[in-house]
Amino acid sequence: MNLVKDILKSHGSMVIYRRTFSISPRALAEKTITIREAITQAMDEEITRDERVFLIGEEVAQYDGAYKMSKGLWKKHGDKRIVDTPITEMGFAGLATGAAMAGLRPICEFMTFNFSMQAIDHVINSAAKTYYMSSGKVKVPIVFRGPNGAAAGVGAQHSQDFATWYSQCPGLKVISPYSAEDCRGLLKAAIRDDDPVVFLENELLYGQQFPISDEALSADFVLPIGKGKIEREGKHITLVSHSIGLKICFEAAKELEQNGIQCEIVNLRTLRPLDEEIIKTSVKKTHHLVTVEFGWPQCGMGSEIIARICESDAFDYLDAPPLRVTGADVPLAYAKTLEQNSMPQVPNVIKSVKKILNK
Amino acid sequence: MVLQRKFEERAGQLYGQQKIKGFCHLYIGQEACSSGAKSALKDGDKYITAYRDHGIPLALGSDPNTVMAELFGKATGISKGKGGSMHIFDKSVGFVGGHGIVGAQIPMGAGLAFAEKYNKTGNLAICYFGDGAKTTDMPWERR
Repeated sequence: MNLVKDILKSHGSMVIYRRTFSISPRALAEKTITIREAITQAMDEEITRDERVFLIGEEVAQYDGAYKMSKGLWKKHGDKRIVDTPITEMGFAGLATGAAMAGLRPICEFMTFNFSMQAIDHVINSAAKTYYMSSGKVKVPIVFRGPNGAAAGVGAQHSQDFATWYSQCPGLKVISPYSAEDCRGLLKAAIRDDDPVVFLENELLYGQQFPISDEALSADFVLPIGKGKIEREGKHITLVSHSIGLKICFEAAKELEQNGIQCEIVNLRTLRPLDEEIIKTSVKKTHHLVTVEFGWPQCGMGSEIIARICESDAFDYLDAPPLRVTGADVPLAYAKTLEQNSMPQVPNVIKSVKKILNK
Repeated sequence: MVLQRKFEERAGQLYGQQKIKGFCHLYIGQEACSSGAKSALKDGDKYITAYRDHGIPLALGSDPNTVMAELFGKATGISKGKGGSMHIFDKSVGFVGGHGIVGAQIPMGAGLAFAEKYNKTGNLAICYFGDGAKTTDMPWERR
């Protein structure tokens, strides 16, 4: 029997006290870390590794990060490497972009991606397009990172999902990780990449624990940008998702298994460049497709994925039209019930799967 | 300065004849700004401006043939025809563009200076902007 006592402290840092009375020994516990730890570690390691890397943003230094994502970094690395800014997204995103053009490798944190709209001219016009416009002469090795999408009860202006806005733009790489391993490997890869990268985190996942291998904890662990992962194999239907969408895919798959339906779950990891091959291969195997995202439906990731499948030879393997599960086409409400019902839930995924499979 | 003036007069003429497409913002009358800076600054200093960007690289020593070719969208242009009039870049002389959005060059110029300070080079960054840019958010955010 296990007794667990948790004490949660505010400001996003969690302190867990655990007292365990166990008769049967737990299997050699798999190591776990939170998304927060994964991201902090990745930044710490890259800042240590390459003196050109620095972190800039609101509250990143003395406050340890608005969501504590840079905890301990200012104490360790100092003012030069961890730079606090006033509230001026256009100012510091532009400054960081200029610094990247001059050869430094900034990590520019947006407190949330909603505020990136203040600076979006620099993300797109100054950063994304410059390598092309200069015919390859001027690189912009910058990472824009921060939480994207809905949090809990923060209202419409603080809850937008920018995945598709950014993934539309040539010149950017756009990453939307799910697990701690995704975050570690892909953030390190993003910082080492010479292109501007938009790294979309999710605030609701920051405190979540994920198992992590020793290999993934090593200092040079990088994952390839542009490659998805099969999180779960299955033969009846393909579920494609990214970031927090995967959470409901896993739960839906578990429930559907009891009805004898095996779901294959594809974790995109990167939105641009999109890993078309992994989706096509899965669809050719299962013949059925549901896309799952928390963003709005019009011009969403689901639209793009389904269009690409239809344009490819994988179309001939479909036994039913694909379906999209998305957030509701509405600015996100504040009231809890409205908010929850505006976002995709497990029953939505299950209903879509059963509809396609005629069950 | 004479090179800049003659170059721009010719570019203006060709633009009027519609042989240069899109936009063409001439540096006529401002030659002293680029040449004066060049005479006072040194190799290693950085320059950035908005889209009135033909004069500065010429003052710094960029090959005028490649700048003119860029206005014609040729592959031999300084940005291989992919930038056009507003996106001249020449890192070899410290010129970091060539930007289309009014005022955007201001925080980016601060970024160039930030990098020089970070690397302790002692180099300067000079950022050109006009009366249009002075009223955008960007100079005020920079304070």
